[in-house]
Amino acid sequence: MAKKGFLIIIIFLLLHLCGCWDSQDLEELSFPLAAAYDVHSPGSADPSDPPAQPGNKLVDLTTLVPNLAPKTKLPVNVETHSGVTIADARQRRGLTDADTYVTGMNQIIIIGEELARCGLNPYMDSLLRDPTIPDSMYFSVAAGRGEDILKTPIKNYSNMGNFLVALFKGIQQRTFIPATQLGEFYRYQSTGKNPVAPILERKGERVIISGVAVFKKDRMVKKLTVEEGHDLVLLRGLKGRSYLPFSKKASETYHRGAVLVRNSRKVQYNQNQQGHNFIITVKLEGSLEEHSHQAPITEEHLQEIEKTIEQQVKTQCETFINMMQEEIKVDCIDISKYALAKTRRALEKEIDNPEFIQNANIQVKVKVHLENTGESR
Amino acid sequence: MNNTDTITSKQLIFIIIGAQIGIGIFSLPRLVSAEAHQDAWLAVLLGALVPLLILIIIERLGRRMPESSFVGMNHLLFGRWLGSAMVFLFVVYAVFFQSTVVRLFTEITIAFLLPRTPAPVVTLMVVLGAVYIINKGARVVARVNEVLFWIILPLLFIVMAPLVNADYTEILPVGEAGVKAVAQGVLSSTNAYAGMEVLLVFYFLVKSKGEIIKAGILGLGWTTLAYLIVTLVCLLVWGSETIQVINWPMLTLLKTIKFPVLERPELFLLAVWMGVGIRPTMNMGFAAAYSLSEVLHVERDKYFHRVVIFIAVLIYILALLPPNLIVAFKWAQYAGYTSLLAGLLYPLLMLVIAVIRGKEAPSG
Amino acid sequence: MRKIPRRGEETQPQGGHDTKGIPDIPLPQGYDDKMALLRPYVEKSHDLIARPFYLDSEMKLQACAFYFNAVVDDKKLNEHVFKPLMMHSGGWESGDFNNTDRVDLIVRTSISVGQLRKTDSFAVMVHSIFDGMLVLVFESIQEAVIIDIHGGQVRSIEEPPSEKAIRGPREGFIENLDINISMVRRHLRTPRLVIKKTIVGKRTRTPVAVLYIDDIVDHGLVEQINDRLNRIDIDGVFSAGSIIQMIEDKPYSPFPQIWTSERPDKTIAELLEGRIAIMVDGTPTAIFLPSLFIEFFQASEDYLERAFVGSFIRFMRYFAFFIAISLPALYIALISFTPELLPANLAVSLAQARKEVPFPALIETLIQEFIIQMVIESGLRLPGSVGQTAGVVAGIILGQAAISAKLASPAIIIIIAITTVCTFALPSGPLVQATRILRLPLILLTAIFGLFGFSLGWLLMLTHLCSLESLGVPYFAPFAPGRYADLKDSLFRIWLFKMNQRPLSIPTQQKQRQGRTGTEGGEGE
Repeated sequence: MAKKGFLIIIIFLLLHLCGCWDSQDLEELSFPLAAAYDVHSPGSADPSDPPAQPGNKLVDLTTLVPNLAPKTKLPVNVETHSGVTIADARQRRGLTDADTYVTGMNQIIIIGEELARCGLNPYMDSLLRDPTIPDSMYFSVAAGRGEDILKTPIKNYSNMGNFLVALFKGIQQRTFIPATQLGEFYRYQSTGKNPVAPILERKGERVIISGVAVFKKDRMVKKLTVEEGHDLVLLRGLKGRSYLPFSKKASETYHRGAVLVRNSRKVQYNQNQQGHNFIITVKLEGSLEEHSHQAPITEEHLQEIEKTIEQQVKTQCETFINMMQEEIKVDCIDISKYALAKTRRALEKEIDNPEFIQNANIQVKVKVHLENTGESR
Repeated sequence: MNNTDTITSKQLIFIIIGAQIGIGIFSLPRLVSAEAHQDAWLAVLLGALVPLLILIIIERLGRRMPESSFVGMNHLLFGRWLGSAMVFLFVVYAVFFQSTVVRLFTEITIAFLLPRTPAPVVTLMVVLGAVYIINKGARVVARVNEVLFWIILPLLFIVMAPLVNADYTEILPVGEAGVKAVAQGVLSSTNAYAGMEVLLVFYFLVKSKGEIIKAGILGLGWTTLAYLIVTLVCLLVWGSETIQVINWPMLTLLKTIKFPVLERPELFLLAVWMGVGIRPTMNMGFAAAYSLSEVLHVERDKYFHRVVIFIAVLIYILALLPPNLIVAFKWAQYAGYTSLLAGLLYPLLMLVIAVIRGKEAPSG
Repeated sequence: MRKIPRRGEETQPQGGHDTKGIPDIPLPQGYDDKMALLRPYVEKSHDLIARPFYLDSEMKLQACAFYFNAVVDDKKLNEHVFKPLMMHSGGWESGDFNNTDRVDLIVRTSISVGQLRKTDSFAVMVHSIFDGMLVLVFESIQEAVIIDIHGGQVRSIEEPPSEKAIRGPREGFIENLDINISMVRRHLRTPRLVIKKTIVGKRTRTPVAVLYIDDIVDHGLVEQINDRLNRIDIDGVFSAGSIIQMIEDKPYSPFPQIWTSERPDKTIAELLEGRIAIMVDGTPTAIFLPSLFIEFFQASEDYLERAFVGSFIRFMRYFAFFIAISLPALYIALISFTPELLPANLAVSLAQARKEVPFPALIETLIQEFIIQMVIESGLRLPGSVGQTAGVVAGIILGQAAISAKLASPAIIIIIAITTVCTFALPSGPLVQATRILRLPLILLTAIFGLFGFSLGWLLMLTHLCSLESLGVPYFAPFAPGRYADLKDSLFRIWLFKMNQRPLSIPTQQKQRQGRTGTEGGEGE
């Protein structure tokens, strides 16, 4: 018995002394809260650029790392490093950063516009392979270079990373803009799925969301404006909540106001000789927030408002769908899955072709239901 | 048969669950959906039929010879030398299977938790843990299985949390993959469902033989439920194509959501991590050690631990052999196919010979 | 303390007849012979009093009383033994002593004491003297009379300091075995209560009593206990603790396997559940066998509370147990190995705090652990109020000063404080000690392997718990062999009127202890 105990103690001591191989204390780590990927072509006369194959681009990795040292003025450290691949850029960090670089606590990734147009698969691969990176990380595109976004100084938040996280966390509850997580982005690898992402832009000293990026698989194909982004969210069925203005001139009364609505959608699909037919029913439910007319609202009045909104949204959505079918030619509203649900094997090959969405017949119906009018009538 | 080795039929439920649900559950969705695409969940459901068949065969076999242990049965049916050889083969199968399990467990541990720790050290700790438990006898093994089951049960609920991102169209249209694809999916699931063959050894140790079938079905039912839930959730959240690029879908599944306070739900899984991965090793390892010690006429009280250590060393060495993860996955697939041999054909053979030799089941 | 000899070896018979030095010979008849035999003992002990007297008025029949000063009750000695014997001396005729029943004659007519017996064995007589009895030897009568009139000072009955009850009886056992037994008898009046006395310890010759209820308990367990008690082969029993360590199944385990209590009401509750109680003279503690893990989480006032409150508190205790063992290890696992499992802002603030501390996380934790253990120990040794104040002051000052001196980060101080508080929230002393010990290996394992080591440590601990048995009864029931009906009293505390059956985990003869209407029915008398 004593011998067994002795043996256990010896093993313990040996293990401790040989090394707690993975033990690295928290304060010796440098963990980025936000990261941005960009590309630039080599050949600019920057001597610190790593050697690259001619024709290939170099990636830039910008990281936002909280400054752990006590009594410093800078709460965060934002640095950019270049490399042949992202992992190579990480390796180059080691020349200037004294702490071990840990990727697991990253919460936001911003992709520069140029990189997004190149096709993200080779660059995002490291994020997929790293077992410590959560799939709940927010993913967005930058208008211009992602580096500029991270380097913008921010006043009322501790750092830009926290600000962006807070921005994306509630965005779908404030307006109809999608907040994409990394896991959603990865689903592009399934047939028929194309991700979307919000676009961040630096305007002077502020960072705002200026639109929505549409991807074809892993390559960005179009930047939508904020209004188009609204239509996208409605058609794509992402659960959101937003104020929606409406206005209509009627014979005597002039309706103008806004509603606060949640959206949902239903899609019906069938296939006949005319091809693939989709009927998207967008449902908006909510309450009346603002109205310009003074008289108390009657039931007919409410229904008129609902009809106004329905018409308005329908027109907007149809415009969007036209644009999608003519210009983008990519299923960014996530309806191919309903076609796949009926006949997966037959359609798998062709569903990602532009012809599929170009020739699909898509109808939009809108239903608005206003539950109440707030505190006043 | 020692007093420390008898178990009740209720404990058998947990032993069966523990022998089957191990690290196989992590890669199961990927392996099955590679063949069966969106009908992977059907394949998983149908895959339960194989262990069910094994259960019935073994129970029939045991009923004919209730007084014999596994080794005794072999001796009775095949004669002394051939019988001992068959037992040795069974032990070899168990050691091989467990070495793949231990290897994959070590791989996942190193990938997610301990990237810089050398693999032999992690494997050593896993094997040492198994040795400690197996040494204590079947009763303690059964009790540990039971406790671990209840502790790991909340994980099943946590796994369902990502359903907020689920897309039900991923599993439609049902059945379109075709019978052949689903059958191949069933074949891929054999690795995960393996483990029912420990019943060959544990049959003898259960006190009330009449309840074994009920216990077996209950245990198998839980396993199937767990596998079904995990496969379904993975399919619904990602779709059968995206799963193909993920090595361990169930682990990655836990990373897609954020909980309000603790943020990362993997914390729960990792805190009981060892309990999840070691269950098949301890159950099958015990079965192997017990049979081996019986066939070598080793005295149970004094020298059982030497047999256990011997088997542990074998598992350790075999677990370190594959040079990389891809080869290790391949070995695991082979082990799954071998489990069909050991679990289906072997007891079937024994049953046929038992019928031929006229060993009647006792009445009542 | 010597080990309990292995099963199968020679057992030591009761009573110590074979103790070296006291020959087991029959008593001689003559008075002088007897005195000669007893002289060596009288010479060695000056508190052994030999009081000769005459039984008859003619001074022909000598007698002598042997007793230890202040061990027998003087008043009873004088009033009930000496007085009637000496007063009666005039009434004896010499002829009276020619009968064979002359001892009976003396005893039944003159000595007005309750407990007495006769013996004709020298060894028994000497042992009785040293056991604190009064021994009378007579001229020309072989037998000696042994009278039990124990006296001496004993402590008064007061509340046991370690098992305080907020509501409930405040009686606690004292050091005298007979009085303790009387406390149990008074409140458990069933005729089925069996009390058997035996003697343990070759030189201390401590009386030990075994109590059980005849028609509830499993007699196999009783036999095992008697067997183990008989096999104890040691010099001296100093307290119940010695007996515990001798009869435990696995003394090497850090977990206590035998439940103790200083309260009679707890004793009675345990007896009614089918357990066996052992009480040792000289210790106010009663020992219960078989014991289960869940018992160490039960306090007797749980049953006085309302069911919901009791369940909540019970559940919190299990949680406290988990925290007490795991929290420092979890801290190390998260800080040193997998910080990505922490929320990002928490990680940042923890890292900033730790940046100023020169030690690695493991060393920091070990230092604080060591300091808090020393604070606890010193708090125990200091007397009364000084101890409590010193503990609080030490804790606060050490913690605050450590942070200011940058020797510890605030996080570790909080963690150690929570851990310590949770440790002492456990109701059972041995369990508290167990958690204090178990924390350390878990910290060390986690320091090498992170969360993997943490889960490995817990797995080994669980396995160990599952393998412990108390008298053959699985220790970790109702968790391990899953007696789900027993969970009523383990993780939560169900309403008393629903606890109709005795715990399944303990083998008993009679399962039903309550009728369905909840009224206390008869016990099948």
